[in-house]
Amino acid sequence: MPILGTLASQFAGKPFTSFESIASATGTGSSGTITFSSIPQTYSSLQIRCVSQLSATKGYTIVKPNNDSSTSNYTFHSTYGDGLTVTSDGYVTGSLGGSYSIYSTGATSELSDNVAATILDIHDYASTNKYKTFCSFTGYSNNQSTNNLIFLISTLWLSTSAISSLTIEAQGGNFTTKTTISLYGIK
Amino acid sequence: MSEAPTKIVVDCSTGETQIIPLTAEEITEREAMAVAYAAEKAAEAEAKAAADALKASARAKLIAGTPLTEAEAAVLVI
Repeated sequence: MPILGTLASQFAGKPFTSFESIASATGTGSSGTITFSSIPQTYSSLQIRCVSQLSATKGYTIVKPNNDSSTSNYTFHSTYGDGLTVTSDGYVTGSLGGSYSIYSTGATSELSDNVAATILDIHDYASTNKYKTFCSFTGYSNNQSTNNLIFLISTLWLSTSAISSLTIEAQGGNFTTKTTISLYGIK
Repeated sequence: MSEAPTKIVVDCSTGETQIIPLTAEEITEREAMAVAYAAEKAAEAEAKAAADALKASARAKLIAGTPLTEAEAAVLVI
């Protein structure tokens, strides 16, 4: 509760370093894979904040903890809207070889300078006794009445392993130079 | 000849960024995943087109006052 009735006062005595930048990467136009390796195990949660664009058409960009491509380890569900309809989607294990947590625009899709924005939370990533849930909010506006996308996505990684690396992989083409992917740690 | 695909690797412990060519195995895996993804998207598009057609048919029959099939009724009534 705010001591002085102001938002700032509730932070009194708490460090302002609870949210820290771990690393950041920018697309080169010739790589479709970005990996953050040797992630410190000292945070309670990780967050990825990114703007992303693919050199090919728009689409999902997958996130693989510990470079795990096993389709038996991922389930997924999402709700998304395109400006006209709202749809719900889901896959059980056996379908996906990664967490479909990020959506990216495509340089060959509608607006070539447009990027999609994503915030992805990975809670308790260092735990060794529970599965890991990835929650993301991703999408873009395309200056059209219907051809936009906004997603709420939850993926379950059915592994109790601590996450020491995250590989972000384009499903088609490479990450353009308009792409920036940043990894943060939350204490 | 096209440029060899690469990956960007950021070592969080040192801050060092490297651009490394993909191995043959990684290229094969990426290609397989792209094919699987394309198949998924095609199946999704096909299912959506079928559902849209069913809805359109159901609406037209409602307006015309003709009987709906069970599938048409199902897309209108949850």
